[in-house]
Amino acid sequence: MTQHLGEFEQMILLAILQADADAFAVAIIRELDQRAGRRVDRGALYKTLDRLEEKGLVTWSVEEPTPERGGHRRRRFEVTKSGMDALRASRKALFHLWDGLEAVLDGAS
Amino acid sequence: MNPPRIAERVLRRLVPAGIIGETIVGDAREEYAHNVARVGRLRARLLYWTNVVNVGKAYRGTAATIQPSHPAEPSALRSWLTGWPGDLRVAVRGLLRQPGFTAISVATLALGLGGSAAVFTLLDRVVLDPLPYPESHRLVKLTNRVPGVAADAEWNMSTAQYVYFSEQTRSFDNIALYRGFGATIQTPEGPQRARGWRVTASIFPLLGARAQLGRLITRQDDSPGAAAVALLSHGFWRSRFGSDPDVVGSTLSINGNPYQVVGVLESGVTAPGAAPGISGDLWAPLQIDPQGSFGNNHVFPMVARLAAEVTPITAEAELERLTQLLPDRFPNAYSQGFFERYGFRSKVTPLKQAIVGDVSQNLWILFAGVALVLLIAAANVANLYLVRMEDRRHELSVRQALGATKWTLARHVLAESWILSSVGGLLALLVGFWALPALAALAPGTLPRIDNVSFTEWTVTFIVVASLLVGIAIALHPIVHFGHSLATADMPGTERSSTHGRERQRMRAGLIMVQVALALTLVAAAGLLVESMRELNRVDPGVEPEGVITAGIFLTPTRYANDVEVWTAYRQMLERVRAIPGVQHAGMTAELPVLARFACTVQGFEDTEVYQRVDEAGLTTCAGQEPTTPGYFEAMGIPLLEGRTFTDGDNDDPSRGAVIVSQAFAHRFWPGEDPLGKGVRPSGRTEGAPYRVIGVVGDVPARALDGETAIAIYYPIVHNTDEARNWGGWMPTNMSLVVKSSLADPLLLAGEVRRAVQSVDPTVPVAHVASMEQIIRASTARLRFTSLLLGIAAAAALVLATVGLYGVVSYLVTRRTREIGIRIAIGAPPSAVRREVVRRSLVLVAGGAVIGLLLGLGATRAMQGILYGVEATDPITFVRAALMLVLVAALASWLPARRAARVDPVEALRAE
Repeated sequence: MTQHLGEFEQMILLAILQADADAFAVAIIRELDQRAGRRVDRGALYKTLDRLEEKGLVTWSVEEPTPERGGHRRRRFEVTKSGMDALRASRKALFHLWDGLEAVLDGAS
Repeated sequence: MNPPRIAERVLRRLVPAGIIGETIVGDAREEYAHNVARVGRLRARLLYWTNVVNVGKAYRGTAATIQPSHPAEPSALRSWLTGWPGDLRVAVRGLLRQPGFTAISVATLALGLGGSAAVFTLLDRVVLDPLPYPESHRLVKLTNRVPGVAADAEWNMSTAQYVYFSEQTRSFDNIALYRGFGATIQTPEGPQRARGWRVTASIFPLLGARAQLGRLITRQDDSPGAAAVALLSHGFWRSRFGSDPDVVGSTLSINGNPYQVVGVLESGVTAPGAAPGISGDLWAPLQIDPQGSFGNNHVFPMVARLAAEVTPITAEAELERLTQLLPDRFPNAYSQGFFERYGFRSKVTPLKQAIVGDVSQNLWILFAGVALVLLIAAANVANLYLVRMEDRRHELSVRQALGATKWTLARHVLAESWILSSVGGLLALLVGFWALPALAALAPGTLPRIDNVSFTEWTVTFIVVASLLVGIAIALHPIVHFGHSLATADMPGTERSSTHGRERQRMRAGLIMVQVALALTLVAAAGLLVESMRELNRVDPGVEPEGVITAGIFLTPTRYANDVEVWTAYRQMLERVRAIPGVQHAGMTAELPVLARFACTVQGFEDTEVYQRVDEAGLTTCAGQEPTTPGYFEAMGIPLLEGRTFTDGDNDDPSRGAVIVSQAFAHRFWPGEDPLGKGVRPSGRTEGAPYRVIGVVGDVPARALDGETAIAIYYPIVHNTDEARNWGGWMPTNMSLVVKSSLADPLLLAGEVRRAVQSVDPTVPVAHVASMEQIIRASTARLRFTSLLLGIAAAAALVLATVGLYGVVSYLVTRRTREIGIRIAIGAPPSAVRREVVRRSLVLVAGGAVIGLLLGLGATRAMQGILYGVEATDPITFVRAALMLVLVAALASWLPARRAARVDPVEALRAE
């Protein structure tokens, strides 16, 4: 069963995919900032990542520390298969909803 | 490049434990490093903190769902607060039911609070209140230390120093020099004596003074050769000129010279440090000529305003450097030899310290004294209150059984004690209002800033704060101890549970001991002051003040061509004064004993050995040089020890060169030798015929009764050589007339003496009339003031401690009625019962006395500076104080003891 995704959840999942091998928290934040123009509240980010993990949509692995992190390890995030399914389902739903509305929305803007 | 440490620590606390937390902290570090490179350290730190807050908010949300909430807490506090009005009402009713307890407590507290508030006000207004000048904390007084003259000797500044420092220093924004002068003013009502200040124009901006009418003295007025101008003080303008605005622009005759009045100062402008009442009548420019000749004239007080950021210490360092350069600029006034010989160094003192420095100690001691009285009063009321609480244990137990918590009981107790202390505080305000003017009236006139004393909001603040604290102190023991003793819930009928009873007894005993200790400290301190007064009264003033009246005589110098004319006038005046019925002797001298400084005027000695001797002893050849007429020693009652006193012939034939020295003078300069016939020259004379010592007279104290002995040398009025008369010799135009009469009240002679003097020269004012007894009394006024007030405080302390002891012993006797009854029933003789009661209280008193002795020996050490002729740890005074307390304590316990011995055993047993 695919799950329903919130907007922020979608954006985070997409940012993880964009960052690819670099999907650490700091890179995710940067992707969201640069690609979506969205400044992220750190607290919200971590909480959302926790929630996505609970839902089984992301998973993470621990990487060894770098000096600039003061000896603290870091998590690399990955989108799970369920995560990919959820993204696809969301995209599909949105496409259906968007269908035929281009003229209305372009005219309005 | 680490993030803010505190922020990181906070973050660590906020995030979940384990790997997630660790990675979040690591992310934050990474981000921080990145941000520092991007937007700089400051904004990076800010962003870090923002992240900490956001992360914290996110994770606290979950925590809040886990932790239980406490909705009950705030409402418990609220209900505690809303219970106050009810408790206050109950407390008022309860206190009114026991009017005796209430009245005694309130009166005791009012006495303690009122007394300390009055002395606090005195301290606040005289010592703590800033001086009435703008930015007064930057004002300093400049003086010169001259350890070569005496260890604590200080000279004022010279005109040379003023000119040089004005040009050179960077430590000061402004420097001003001034000097008081006596001004004889001719008015239509005859000659008047006024007090004037000669000042540099800079003093007005320095003091922030403004003119009410006309203008101030300007730099132009102050330049050499400018027309003579004068500025009137507001008070003088009002009293002498009836506030007439036309006086500005008119001409005033001052010391025989015309001055144009250019303005009137605003009221309240005084020269720094001038005693109240002599704040100055008129001001005239000093007109120092920077190009003129300068002498070593250290007679000018100097005040300065420190530049921003400059401290007195750095200013002093700069002056020290500049002082070394003075001889180059003023070779006539200064030399390196002079600096070395006298250890000459300039000193910078904050102006307020210079003005109130020596009284602040007196006032702090007084304040400590009244604070002790307040403590004793509080201890007394606390003791009474304990007894009262005892009686209310039933009630409190019942309250607790009905659900009252420790806090509501505390509120209940505090409500009562605060009512007592605030009513006491209100009464204290009245006591203070009454006591303060009385204090100010008792205070010696020489107390600086006494005119500044009045009630202010600080007095009220003091009373409010002190009342609150006293209220808490009184309630403290009941609150703390009922708190835990109630846990065992005494039920009605079990109140004599012995452990609590014993503890309360210990508490009461402790309070009594504290009271006795504090009272003993005060009594000992007062005893030391009284002893000092006794010693001072025993001091031989060297004069016989009975029947002696003194007055200032001021000739206008321009009216007299030379010292012979001055002498002629004096001789006529003295002849006419001596002709007044009742007058026995009359004479004049330049400076009066006790009052004057007998300042250092360098003497020349024929005998060169004197210089050597003085040098070796580290002394100088200076002495108080006093022009004196015949009849002075007789009138003042200064004994002649050797030779003879002056006669008219010594002035009529000045070539005799007669001179008289004091015993101290002879001892200092000719130790072990016969002073008669020795040769001396007055200041400024290095050649010509010397004066010859014709007599030695007794010593007099300089400056104050407890001041040092004057090293005095008395010269005739007329100089012994024509040269001195024609150039450079003094002309003694300011003298003190001394008249010895057979009248009990010599002041009755004042009018006749004035008429006699003015019949010779109508322009001569006869001012500052006082009896010699008044002068001597005034000299000890400050010590008398302090010892009187501390004596009152000690008496109050003694009474309070006695009442406290009496109360406690009575209470204990009442409590033990049953026990005593049994004892008597089984045959104890009444005398044994009495002894036992008295013995018990004396044990308490002895304990308190031991503590008090230790406390007192420590505390009175701070008083050494104001004591005279007695050590701060004088054993006799302390033993006497302790004995007095024990005696009073024995009396206080005697009455209850007698009551105890009369207990009827039948009654005592039936009552239970």
